[in-house]
Amino acid sequence: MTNETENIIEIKNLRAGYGDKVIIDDVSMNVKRGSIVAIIGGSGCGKSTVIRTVVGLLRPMAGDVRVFGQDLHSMRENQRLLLLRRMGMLFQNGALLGSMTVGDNVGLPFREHSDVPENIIRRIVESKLAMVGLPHAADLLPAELSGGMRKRASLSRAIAMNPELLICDEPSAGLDPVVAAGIDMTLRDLQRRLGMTMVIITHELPSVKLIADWVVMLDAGNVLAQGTVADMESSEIPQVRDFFARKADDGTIGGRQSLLEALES
Amino acid sequence: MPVEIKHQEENGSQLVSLSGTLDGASATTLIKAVRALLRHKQPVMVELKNVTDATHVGVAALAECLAIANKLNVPFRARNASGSVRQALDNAVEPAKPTRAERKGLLENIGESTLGVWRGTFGFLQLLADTAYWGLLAPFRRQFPPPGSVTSQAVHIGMNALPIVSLISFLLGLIMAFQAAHQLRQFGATIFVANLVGISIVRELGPLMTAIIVAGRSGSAIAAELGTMVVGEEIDALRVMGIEPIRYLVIPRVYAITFTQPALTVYANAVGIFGGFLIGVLYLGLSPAAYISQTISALSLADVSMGMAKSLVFSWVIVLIGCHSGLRITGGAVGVGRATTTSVVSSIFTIIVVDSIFTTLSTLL
Repeated sequence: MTNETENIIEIKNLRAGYGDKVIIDDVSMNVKRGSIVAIIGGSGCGKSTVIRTVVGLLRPMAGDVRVFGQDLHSMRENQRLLLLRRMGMLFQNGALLGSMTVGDNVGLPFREHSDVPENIIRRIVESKLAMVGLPHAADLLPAELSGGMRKRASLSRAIAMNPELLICDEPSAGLDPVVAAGIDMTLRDLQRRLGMTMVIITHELPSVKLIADWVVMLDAGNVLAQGTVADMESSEIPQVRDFFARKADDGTIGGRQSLLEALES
Repeated sequence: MPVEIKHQEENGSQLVSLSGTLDGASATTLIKAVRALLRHKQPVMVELKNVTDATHVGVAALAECLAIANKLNVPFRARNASGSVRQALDNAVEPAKPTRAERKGLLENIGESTLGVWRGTFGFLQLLADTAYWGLLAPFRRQFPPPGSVTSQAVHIGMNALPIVSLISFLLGLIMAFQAAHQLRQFGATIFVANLVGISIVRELGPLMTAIIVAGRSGSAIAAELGTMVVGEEIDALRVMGIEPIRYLVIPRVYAITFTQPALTVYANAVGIFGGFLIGVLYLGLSPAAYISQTISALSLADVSMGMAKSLVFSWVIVLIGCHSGLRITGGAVGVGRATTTSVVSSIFTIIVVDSIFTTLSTLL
């Protein structure tokens, strides 16, 4: 590749949304090669929207998104496919194809994009499943897996082609702390062993502290702050500090006063 | 002890004194009493000094009173809450400000539905174009649907429909022969039952009934399957893996139904004619050989090819409407249900419209 920079992802003044509704506005951030970047923020702040523009599922309304130095949204179809092969994505609910076994799911990118013979694909699938801690799941159907196993299986599909960039949408949400920590360790391990660059959406504070080299905090569609975990913990912005100190909002209940106050005012 | 409500006037405002336990049993009475006072546009003060306890239902009743007062723009206050009552009130949240629901004007509604129809049509045309590209051109660029997928879809859509298609076509042939027999017997022309059954089944009822059965069986299944995949982000996952969902999911179904639908129709025709044959031979006493030769002489090549052409067009209607309904769904499980219904209703509707166009054109030309 020609003008490949140190930054795997470069986002400049991105605006995106669905229909007429703008979800994120003026978001700028970079992801350096080999780093793990966590995107954090409250529910509905636009974390997933950023990711969807990066992988080409959503067309930006304005601004610039470059992955591997290239603009995914203005490329020819076959070049786009080549670029997509260099990244993998773990979806929030796994998004395994329900009609085929876990092994077939993991082998799917290989079957579709390469001429590797079937028996070799089978070995690759075995080793990828073992890498995420599911050595015996190849013949199960996705419906037979628990939530944590489904995420792991989906992770092994995301890394099937040894992508340079791995994007995870809430890899540990809704899992118990032990399983969640296991997934975090797996991600860290993958990054060390395969040198993958990772972007992780999460609102699990422990995950962020454990694995992130760089943190981007979004709020209401804008970047509130970005920096290392240490930077964020000593941030000037109260919302950022509160997030890292796990502090709740002020005393009001969802921004409303209590009935007592209303009646006695 | 349920709450007791007394009220008196106190310098310009209504004083409502409550005593006892403010609970569910007293909620309705309280609201009724307060509402009556508020209607007279007089400020209300609730004395809570003698209230010993308040359940969450009772507290909600007070909140409702406050909401009514806010709506009528009349002050509604309470005083002297103490102990557990005070605590309960502090745990509850003030009533939400009434948000005026945005009522859409007639023009806005018309505009919105027009846009919806336009978007639907545009999406359908896009699917049609994509299908044409991936189905007709892509194979020349060595891009095929996944191996084995066409066969497995053909089994689902075609082979598994054989029992129901057999039964319905057989009964249809039977019914038609019976109905025709009574009329034709008056003229001593019972042998023409063979013509009537043969022509109407091959030209109309065979293709039509088969299409309606397949729309109900497979059109709905396609919509539900693709819809569930959209909900589960499986379609997005395919796109991110660089796998075009049209090629991977739609094309195998299009190929499969393009082969199975004419085949099913030929089969349905044969079974239908056999149903008529049984009535002709067993009930009307016609000779088997006469019935068969009469049927063959009645049918022209044009009839048969017309039936086949129809069945092809019907099959594309079914598969494209099924895929379109499934792929554009929004809104989870409810959306899947809606897509399934839409796919069956619109395909059957479109099939009948297309059939009438076919018949009209072929009769006029």
